Parts: sequence; structure tokens; C-alpha cells
Amino acid sequence: MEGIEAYWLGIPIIKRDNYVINLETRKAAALLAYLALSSPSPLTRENLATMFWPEYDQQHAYANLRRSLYSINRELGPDLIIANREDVMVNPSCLFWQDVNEFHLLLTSVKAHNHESSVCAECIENLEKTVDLYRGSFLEGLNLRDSPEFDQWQYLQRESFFHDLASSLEQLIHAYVFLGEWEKGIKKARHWVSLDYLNENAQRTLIETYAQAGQRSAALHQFNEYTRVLKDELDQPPDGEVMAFYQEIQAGNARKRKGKPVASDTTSHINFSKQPLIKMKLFIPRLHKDYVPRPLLLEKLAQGLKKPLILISAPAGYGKTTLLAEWINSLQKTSAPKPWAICWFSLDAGDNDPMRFLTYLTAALEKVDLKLHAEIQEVIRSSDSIYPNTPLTMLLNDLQDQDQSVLLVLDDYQFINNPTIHDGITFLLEHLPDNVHIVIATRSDPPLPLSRLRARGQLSEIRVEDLRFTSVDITMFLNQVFGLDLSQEQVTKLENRTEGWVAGLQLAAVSMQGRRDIPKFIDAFSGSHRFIMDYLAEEALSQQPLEIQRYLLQTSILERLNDSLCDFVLDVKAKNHVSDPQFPQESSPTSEKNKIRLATLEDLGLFIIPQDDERIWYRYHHLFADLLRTRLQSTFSGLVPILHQRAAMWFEKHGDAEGSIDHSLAAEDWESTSRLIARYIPEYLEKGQMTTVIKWLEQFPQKELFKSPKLCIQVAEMYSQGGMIDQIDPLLDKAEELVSFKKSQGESQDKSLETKLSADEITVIRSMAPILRGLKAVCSGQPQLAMDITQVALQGIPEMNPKELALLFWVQGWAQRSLGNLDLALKLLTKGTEYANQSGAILRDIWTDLGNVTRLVGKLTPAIHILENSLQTNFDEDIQNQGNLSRDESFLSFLYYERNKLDQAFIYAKRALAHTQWWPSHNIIATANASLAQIMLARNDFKGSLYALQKAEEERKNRLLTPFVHSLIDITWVQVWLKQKNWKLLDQWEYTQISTLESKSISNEKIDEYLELRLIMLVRLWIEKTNQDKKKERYETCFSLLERLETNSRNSGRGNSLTVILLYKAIVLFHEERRSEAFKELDGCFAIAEPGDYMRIFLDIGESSQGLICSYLQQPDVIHKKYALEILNEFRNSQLVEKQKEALPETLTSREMDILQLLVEGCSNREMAERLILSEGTIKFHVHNILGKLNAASRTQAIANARELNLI
Amino acid sequence: MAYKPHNNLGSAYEIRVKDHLEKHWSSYFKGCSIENLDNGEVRLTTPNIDQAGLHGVLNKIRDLNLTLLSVRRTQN
Repeated sequence: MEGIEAYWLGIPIIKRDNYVINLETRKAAALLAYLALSSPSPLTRENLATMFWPEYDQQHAYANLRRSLYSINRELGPDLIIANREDVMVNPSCLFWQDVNEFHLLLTSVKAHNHESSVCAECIENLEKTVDLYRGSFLEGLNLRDSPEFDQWQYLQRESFFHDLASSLEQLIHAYVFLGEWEKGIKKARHWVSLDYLNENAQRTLIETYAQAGQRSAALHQFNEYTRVLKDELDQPPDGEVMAFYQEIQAGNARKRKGKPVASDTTSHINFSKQPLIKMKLFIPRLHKDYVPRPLLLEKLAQGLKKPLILISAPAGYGKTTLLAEWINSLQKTSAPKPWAICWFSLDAGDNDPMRFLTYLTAALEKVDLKLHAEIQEVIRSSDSIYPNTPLTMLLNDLQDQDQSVLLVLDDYQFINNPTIHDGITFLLEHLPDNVHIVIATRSDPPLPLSRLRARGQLSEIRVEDLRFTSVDITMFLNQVFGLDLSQEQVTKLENRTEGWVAGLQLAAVSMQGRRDIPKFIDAFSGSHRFIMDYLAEEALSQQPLEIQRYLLQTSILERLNDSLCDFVLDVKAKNHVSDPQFPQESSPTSEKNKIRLATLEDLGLFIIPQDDERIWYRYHHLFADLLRTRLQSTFSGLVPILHQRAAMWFEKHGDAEGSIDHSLAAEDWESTSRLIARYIPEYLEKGQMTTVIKWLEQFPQKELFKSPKLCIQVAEMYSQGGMIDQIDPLLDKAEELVSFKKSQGESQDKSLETKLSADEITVIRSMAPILRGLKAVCSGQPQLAMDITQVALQGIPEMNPKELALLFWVQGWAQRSLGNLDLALKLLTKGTEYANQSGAILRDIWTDLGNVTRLVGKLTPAIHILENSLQTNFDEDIQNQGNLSRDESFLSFLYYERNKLDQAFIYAKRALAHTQWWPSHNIIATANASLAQIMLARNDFKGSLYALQKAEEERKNRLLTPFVHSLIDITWVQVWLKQKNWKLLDQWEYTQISTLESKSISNEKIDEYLELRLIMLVRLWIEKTNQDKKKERYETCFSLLERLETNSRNSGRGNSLTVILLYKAIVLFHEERRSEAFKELDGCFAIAEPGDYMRIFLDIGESSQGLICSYLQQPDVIHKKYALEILNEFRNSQLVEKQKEALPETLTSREMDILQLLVEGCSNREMAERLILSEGTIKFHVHNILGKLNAASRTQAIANARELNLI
Repeated sequence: MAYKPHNNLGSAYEIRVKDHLEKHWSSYFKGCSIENLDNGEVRLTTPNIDQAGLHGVLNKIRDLNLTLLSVRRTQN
């Protein structure tokens, strides 16, 4: 464009005939801006002089003004400013384009259309242009510290432009939402939030847009993010309106209007209602027909409903559960307008995992018609499991909206020992709506803030003293329920001996039934010092027919019982085992009619508890089960393994893998266990359940493992997937040895081995051993060896199956990747996926690496596509807790990091880590943590970054992980040290790299991807070092290494590294003042980086690349102008956050924030004192502190600084 | 297979509870020796265990509703 152009929105840029002009002084630029914006009104010299040079006397101020005007005209043409003795103005006839005028013009034209709600296409275009014009805040970086008047003017202008921008964004968002163009709407809303992330309106709009686009999880995530930011920055909760809206989303009111939901919100496809929950854990215990009513306790419980928490704390066997069953029974009978929603959750030791706890908790609350059930489950899975408060908040809000009273019972709370869960329950209690009540039944007091709750009158307690049976209760229990006829004296004796312990009394009652010498029994019992259970169990059992005694003892090995299972287990003779001679066996087989039914035992009061309404599954009371098991162990220990074996057979027959393997392990029946594990491993690994398999193997002796070549191979395969590849050799050796032994000896000769393998199974073993060895070779940095080993196998085993072929090509693909032949690697991996499809197995790793290699080529978009597709395949399968998704997720985290999409990167890393719970692969845990470390570093969270990196370091220590992981952790350390400016460690690291490099230059070897990562980091270190010490001679070394890296990277086709190498080359050239060469390299870099939307590579090296790109943009006819501007924009966004952190070393307290807010509203000290109910002196003190912290001389300046820091 | 005993062997504890116990409970109490005393109390002596192990034993005492009287570390 001919003439003068001025860009005031953002860092000021002034151009004359397309060339960027740098005015002599900042003040000249400020003066020009002031004149230009005041145009066409003339301004007096006097005003200008006092405004810009307030500290000078008139004469000097006038002289300065003259000098500045002269310099402006010198640079921009003699006609631009016209002045006479009095006045100064911009020449209205000059060709002078200003972005601010354009900005206003566009807005005026939009306003002229006078749209009521949504705008037309033309307006959308104009608004988009407006938004594009706004590169940043008005005259960014051009503060004049010595001219408060100018500062104030600038501040007002800045506010007004920002206000216009925000309203343009808002109009655009509404328009896009109306049109169903969700992606665009979201992009604008994100833009707004990134500019003003503490602004409630912006945040609410973004959340709303997400919700309307059907991306509920993103909406909820944004809400959490906002809450977190508010907490971190201001220590405040969100404003009422956002909260209200949040509840609306939860209630499902904020539905999408039209258009399709965006596909990227993959998680919403999961159907959580299909969760395989153990329904028994949520089963409300039924009241046994023979019970002693406890009206006093019921009254106490009813009173307890006035408080949020009822705690029932007493040892085992005091009738806690029975009392609750009675109470619930009565609650259900009362004719309330709306029935109670009773939610029951029986805890066990496994519930110490917060994720599982929350999953069951929400499932228990399904009794209440929660609107958000699926949503909450999704948040539980996707969010950071360390902070359960988010899903709990959602639950609370949902519960609050119920017009029904809710009773949540947590039974057996003593099993919980995870502080996170205790904290979660405390949080629930502190925010519990009036219609919800929690009952905790436990054997020992939970570490909740009980005394605080007591003091506030929020706790009602029922303790052992309340639960003990009184003599009245005992009389009723024994004489009426059990039909005995005891005297008061006898009752007192029993009361004294049992201390009102209900379980003891029940056993006593069972013992006394049908006994003639009751007085003698009571005397003997009360005189005994034996443990009540020991004494009474013996008595009670001896009162039962032998058949029942046998039944009880033998079925006690089962965690849960049903009639079919019990019959099967008891039929020990069927197994043709020698029966224990000590044990009385009936002479005749029991006929169908005489068979013991669990329901009968329940009626006898034998501590057997139904687990469902149909009375199919039962369990023994914990106390009784322990007692029976110890007795079984001490009397018929030989029988225990046989019983477990029978149980394993029953579970196997009924397709319950875990039941069968658990019992088989308990039976120490290694042969069956081996067979069962071998059968279920593929299924469990495909479903991502590595943790379960590892648990089995921990109980399985290695000696036994070595007997089965098939299992050896399967376990080795699992180790390879779990980052334990250094442990596979002995397993592979053994498997091959057994197979070749079998082959050479022939089947007839060796029966002892019991391998019983089919020809096909032998083929699998012979194929898998070299494949896994090849994989290990890749990990050990010997890709050529991997190629050789697998190539021999490929030729030597023509009968290889598709699944093994798929894996073989995967290993070869990886080897070629390491060898730096990416084209070939892609071909091999694609071949691998074809065979995988043929085999019917999922073989997720192949897809993941296909995505990975695509990333290395530098094609980020297709790489993301492949990985997200791979995740998607899985959601369709509808399998839960799929741990092996973690690998895709950890790499997606990298890809989004590369694009500076830190939020998405963060979520994926966190999800990967959450999934490793079922898939504890050291490689993945290390990768995801390293990724987290980089993300946190980018977010300036140094502590968090260090913490994550240390975790990654722990994972890789002393392990053979993939070479990628090792390099990745190394370079992440360097990034951390650079941030720390820890030159000592950096120098050490530099030294090691240089020696590696020197060894490589002698042999002139190819540099592989992993060394390349380090060497590129070395160059970055050199560049940053030179920025510090200015030893420019280092650039020469940089340049020659970069040249070598470039050739190497080009030969391998690694666009991913080439783009960084070219960027660094450009930076070095730029520093050496070889500009045109620098810009040429930068164009080369952009050519690869732009289609992939790379961002972090530029941001990570900081000012070096920012300066380069700024200058790049000032040339005429810039090729990648749009992209370069985008990069600068990202720079600005991230620096804004950084600036805030740096400029505010001391955070404001919440009180100071209150006062700051009032300052903005323009309150006087007295008004503030009145509103905050403080003295004026205190207000003054706070204001003084605020000014100090904000480094401001006046209140106006404090407000300006606070705005700049986005504090208000 | 992955289980490795910790080098620090912990220490032994003497636990007293009320009411005599049958010997067979020692398997329930993870190898504790059980000695019924004349005063009607039981002395449970644990093998060398760490704090978590001790809490495990105490939980088991609680789960049987035994009355816990005292816990004392005997030696290292």
C-alpha cells in the first residue's frame, strides 16, 4: 500500500510504502498515535508539551515536542504533521491508513444493519475482519512511565477497543451457534477466553457454546478450568451466574439447538450404563423375618435425619446392618408424599481406588433419577482422579434438584483407608443439600472431622453402647424369636457374658435350640474364659446335623455362594479324590429332596445373608466366614485345595474367568491355572486388563510358568507391552527349548512334559519368539539385528498366521523407523495393519505406531486422525477400563502439545495415566509423565513440571524402555534446566552430548531419530547459551551441526525434525545478520510446519524465534504471512500469562481483591470502609499494600496494571 | 513373582486381648503365636512385621470383636 499505514491495535507497527519504520523514540510513536487518534481536531502545542513532558519546564518541553515532530516528519514524509506556532495536527489530505479507523468503520457498518439477534453473512464477514484487526491491546508495550496523562488516555482507549472486540466476538459466537457452525463458534469463544480468561461472561459463553455443540465434557472441563483459575489467581469461587449456568448444563437444559455435534468429542459415545457393576454391592439388605424390633434406636435414627450425617460405629456383629434394614423397611412403609430414595453401597477393600469408589457411588445413586449419571461417570473417567470434587459437585447439584428425600448408606466403611476418599466424603458432607442424608456404618471411627461435625450439631451417632442388646431385648430375642423359655436370671447371665453382643447371642440361641440341658449350658458358658465365638461355634455347630456342619465348613471357602455352586463344590467325590478318612461322609448320596438349600440355612439363623432379591447369591457374615474357614483349615486342611478346585471348575463352566482363576490359584492347581491363564490372557490383554493378568501371575510360580511354552510366550508378549522387555529372554529361551525338544523327541517319547500342543500352537510359539526378540533388539538400539532376526523367521516359517505376520511387520516397521527409513516403515506398518485386519485381532500397537511414524514424517493432522480413530474403534467396542488406550492417548498428548493446544494435551496425558491403572506399562507411564512435564513447563508451572518429570525418571530408571522414551526424558530435563538456568547441569549434559557426537563424526554414522532429538536440543542449548554469554563464535559450531542434521533428517524423510532444524538454522543466520538466508530457511521451515499447525517449536525457543519472525514479516511479499502472524499471536497469548506471573510476585489476598474491585468501581476510602465493614485506616493499609504489590504509584495506575495483568 | 520381602524386617509385637483363643486362630492371625494366660487374657506374639502388618493384625482383632487390652513392641 502506498502512503502511511499505522497498526495501533497490538504492538504498534508503522509502515511507509510497505516498509516498516522505526521511529526514533517511543515518545514519538506515542505522540503520533495521540495525534492520529485525535485527528482531525488540532491540538495545542502547550497541551502536548505538558502532556508528554510533564517533568520539564515549558521551554524544554516545547523543544522536545519540536524535536519529536521533526523526527516523525523525517521518517514518514514532510507533509504528515502540519503545525503552526500554536497548533499541531495530522494532515487530513495525507494518505494515512489506520487500523483503528478501519476497526470503527467495520463496526459501524455492522451496527447500521441493526440486527436484533443474529447477524447476516455480510456482518459475519465484517466482524471477522474486525477481530482479525485486533492483534492485541491498544499500543501494546508503549507505556510512558513519565506521562500519567498519556497513560490514562491510552488506558481508556485500550478499554474501549477491547470492549468493542469482546462484543464483536460475542456477536460472532451467537451467529455461529445459530448457524450450527460449532467449531467456528467454539474457536471464537476460546479466543475471547484466551484474551480475558477471568471474565465471567467470556467463560460462560465458552462453556455455553461447548454445551450447545453437544460437547458436554468439554463444557464441564472448561468450567473446572475456570474454577481452578479463579481459585489459583483470585482464591474465589465462580460467580453466581456461571454457577447457575453450570447447573443448567448438568440438568441437560442447555441442549444443542441444531446442527451436528462435533465429532471430536469422542468420549460422549461411551455408554456407561453397561458397566459391569457388581449389583450385590448395591443391594439393600432385606430384613430377616426373625428380628428384634428396636424402637428406641429407630427413634434416634429418625431424629438423626435432622442432621447430614448419621454414624453407626461399633465392632462386627452388633447388628448395624440389621438395624439399618429395619429402619429402611419402616421408611419405605411410611406414607410420605414421595417415597424415599434409598441408595446402598457396601464397601470392600477394592473400593479404596477413588475412581472405582466414585463409579460405584454414582451407580448406587442411580436409585435417584439422576439426570447426569452418564455425564458424571464420564467426568470420573476423564478427569484427574486425584480430585474427586468435580464429579462430587456435579452429584450434589443433581441431588439438590430432586424433589425427593435421599438416604445414602455407606456400609462397612472401615475398609476405606484412602485419604482422598475421606476428603471426598468430607466435601460431600459440607455441601450436602437438605434433602440428602448420609449414613456411615463402620467397625471403627472414620478419619472424618467428627468432632467438628459434632460441635456444629451436624452429626448423630449410634455407638456400641446403643447397639448392645439390653436384657429386655435379649429376653425377646431368645424367648420369642428363638422360642426358648429362659428365666430372668439366665438372661442376666447371658447378658453379662456376651455384653449384649448380638452375634454372640445369636450363636448362643442356635446352640441352645433343641438342647435339654439349657441351664447347664448357660452356666458352663458364663463360667468360661474362652473366646465367645470359639465356644459357641463349637456348640452351635455340634447342634446341627453332620450334613449341615459339613456344608457350612466346606462352603466357607467361597466368597459368594449359590445353590448350584455349593452342590458342585460339595460333590468332592466326583473328582475321585481320596476323601479325608477323618471326615464323616454320609453312606448314601444325598437325594435331590434332602439337599441343603441356602434359604433353609438362612432360616436357621446361621449367619447367611442374601445378596439379591431373587435369593440366588448369598454370603456368610464376615465374622462367621472367618470362623468357619479357620476351623476348616485346622480340621480338614487336606480338603481345602480340592474344594477350591471344584469351585474353579464351576466358575470355568459358567464362563467366569476371574472366579475360576482365583480359586484355581488358591487350590495351587498349577496345571489348571496355567491352562486357564493361557486361555484368558489374549482376551484380557485385548480388553486392556493387564493389571488383572499381572495379579494372577504374581501368585503363579515361575517354575510352573516354565513348563508351558505357550504361556511363556504369552507372558513375554505381555512384558513387551508393559515395558518389561528386559525380562523376556528366559521365557523365550524356555519356550523354544520346550518346543524344539518336543519336535525332536517326537510325541510318544516325552509324556512328562505334558505340552499337548497342536501344530498350530507350535507355529505360533516358533513365530512369536523371534518377533519378540526383534522387538527387544529395536529397544536395545539394534534395529538392523531386529530386521535380520525377523527376516529369518519370515522365510523360515512359511506357515506363519496373520496375527503373527502382523506383529512381525510391526517390529520391522519399527526397526526401519529407527534405521531412519520412514517410507519403508510406513509401508511395513500398513502391511501390519492389513494382516491385523485379516487376523481379526485388534493389535492396537500397530495403529499407534503408524500414527507415530506419520508424526515423524511431519504430518500432524493425519497422525492425530489415525490415533483418534484408533481410540474411536474402541469406544465402539464398548469395553470398559481399557488400559491399553493409554498408548494412543499419551502420543495424542504430544501431538496436541506440538500445536500448543495445552488443554487437550493435558487431558490426554491425564487420561493415559488414568488408564495405566489397568495397563501399568512403564513405557506409557514414563511417556505420559514426560509429556505432562512439558505441558506444565509451557504453562509456567515449574513445580508441577518437575514433579511429573521425576515420576517419568523413576519409571525409566534401571529399565530397558524404548529408545524414544529415554531420549524424550533426557531432553525434557534439558528444558527444565534451561528454565531454571541451571548452567552447571546443562554444561555437564552438553559435554556428554559432544562426546557422543564426536564418536559419531569419526565413523560418520547415520544419526538416528533418538540421538537426533538430543542433538537438536543441544543446538537449542547453544543458541540460548549464546543469548546469555554473547560468544557469537559458537554459531559456527551450531551451523555446521545443523547442516549435518539437515542432510541426515532429509535423507530419512523426518519432516518433524527437519522443521525444527530449519528454524534453528534461520535463527542462527538471523543472529549472524545474514537475514535473507535466514528468511529462506524460515520459509523452508514454515512450508512443513504450516500444514501441520506446529506451534510449540517456535514458542519453546522463545525470543530468538519471535524476533526472527517479526523481522520476517517486515519484508515485502511474505509467503507465509498468515501463519507467521498466528505464531506471533500465540506468543502474545502465552506471554500475557507469563507476564502476569512475573509481574505479580506476591499474589493479592482475597480481601485485597475485594478492595481492588471497589477501586475499579471508583469507591472512596470511606465508601469502601462502609461496604466492607472495616475502618478507613484498614482500607488505607490494604490500598497501600495493593499499590505496592502492583508496583503502582497511584490508584489509577494500580487499576491499569491490574487490568493489564488480567486481575480484574 | 514380583514380590520381594523388604530388607527391614520390622519388629515383633506382643498384643493382649481378652478371652482365650483356640490355637487354630494363629493362621487367621498370620502366623502369630497364641498363648492363653491364667488371668483369662491371651498373649498374641506377632512375627517380625512392619507397621502396616501390625495394623492388619489389629484390624483382624477388631473384625472378630475381640477386646484389645494392650500392644507392646518386644524387640527389633
